[in-house]
Amino acid sequence: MSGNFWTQFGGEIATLTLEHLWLTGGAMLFATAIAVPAGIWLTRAPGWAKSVIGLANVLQTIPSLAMFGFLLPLPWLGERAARIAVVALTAYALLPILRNTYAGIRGIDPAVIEVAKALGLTGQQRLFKVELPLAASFILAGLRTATVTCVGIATIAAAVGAGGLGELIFRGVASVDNRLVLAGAIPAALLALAADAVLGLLERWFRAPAA
Amino acid sequence: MSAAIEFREVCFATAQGRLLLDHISLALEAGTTTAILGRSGSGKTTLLRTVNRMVEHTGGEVLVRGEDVKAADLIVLRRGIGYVIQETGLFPHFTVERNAGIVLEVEGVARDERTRRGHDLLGKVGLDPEKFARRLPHQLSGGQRQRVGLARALAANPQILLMDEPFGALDPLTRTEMQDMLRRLLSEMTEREKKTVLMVTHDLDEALYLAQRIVLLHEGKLIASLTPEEFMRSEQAEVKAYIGAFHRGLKNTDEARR
Repeated sequence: MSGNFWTQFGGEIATLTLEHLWLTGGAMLFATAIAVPAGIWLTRAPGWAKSVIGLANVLQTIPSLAMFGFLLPLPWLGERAARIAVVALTAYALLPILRNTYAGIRGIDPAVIEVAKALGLTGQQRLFKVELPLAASFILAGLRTATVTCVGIATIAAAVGAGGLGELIFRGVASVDNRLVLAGAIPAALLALAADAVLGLLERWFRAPAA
Repeated sequence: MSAAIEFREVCFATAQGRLLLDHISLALEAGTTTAILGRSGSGKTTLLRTVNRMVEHTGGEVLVRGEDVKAADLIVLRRGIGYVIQETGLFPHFTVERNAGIVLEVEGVARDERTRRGHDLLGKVGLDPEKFARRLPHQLSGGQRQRVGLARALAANPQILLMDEPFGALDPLTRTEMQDMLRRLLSEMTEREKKTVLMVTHDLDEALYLAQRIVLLHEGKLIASLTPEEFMRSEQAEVKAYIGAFHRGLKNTDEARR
């Protein structure tokens, strides 16, 4: 890429990268706020696990372009493209976080849970002192999968005008300018790699010692 | 002496209607150790677990210090009862000292006091606090883990201690050391600390060594509740069969020698 290209698009790439981060980061916050409590609730009511995780699974299978399309005509949401993008990305992020929260807690040595109950820990104490710390690396692994997926999917959000690095890609495709496609794709890929690396570190940091 | 734990016609039926405990009546004197013997599936563990309501009995009454456990506050009831199981269930992410003090921690006891009490108990169960307090469970041997499990169960000074095959997974030598340690620990307790111990075991020898009363269960029914001496002299067929199942190897070598 020539110096000319940078002077022309450098600022835009930076802005769109930030936008991309906002969309993905916002979606991750919402998805975590929904999926972690839901996953915890499922461990208390495992009868629901199959249907709730199944529902999240179905959300995951909706093609992303179609998902953005479905949300477009909705009131309030449809008014701002960024809203659509965040909601759609949240929907995609739910499954990995939900599944890993549920599996992470259910996978704790039953003897540990039994003793926690038998020694008189309240439900909340059991959750915060035992279950969440022991499942933390699992939950983070789910968050990591969700983040990497969503950084990719967020490029599609440009199709409904939500901005982000997809905008450069779409524009590049439309004008048959590979430099523009790469100017969107490379930062997006780097974002995904960075998120993967950082969350991977956190995941290792929180890994509970073996029983 | 009053009964610390009393079972009155206690029944437990599964959701499928299988009766695992069949009208068990039994009173445990305060400050004594009772061992429950019986085959796998005889209801030993189920009976033990009705005391802290890890199993909710479906008939009869379980009284702890005269109070119906079903009327008690579940958390208060459980914090007043020590619980030790074969798998230990130590919290793998807590150090030995935090494991030992967990009941005090959830009760809101200050850290210094917890540490003091925890270290004191580690010493009593035979673990040098200097050496072990900061370790994690996976850095301990099976016997050491079980010692921490015992310290944890005793930390809040409960009057009742439930032990479900506490030493079942240990090698014979370690098991012997643990039995010695427990016996000494229980005998050295002051009047205020005295424990009523209810212990499930497969090991007749362990029951004879540690318990003042031996209870035999068979298919959910109470077959015998006897002192160790009475148990060994009993003419009851089930008791004799249970005794006969032990030390067969010894008998075999005795015969060979003749």
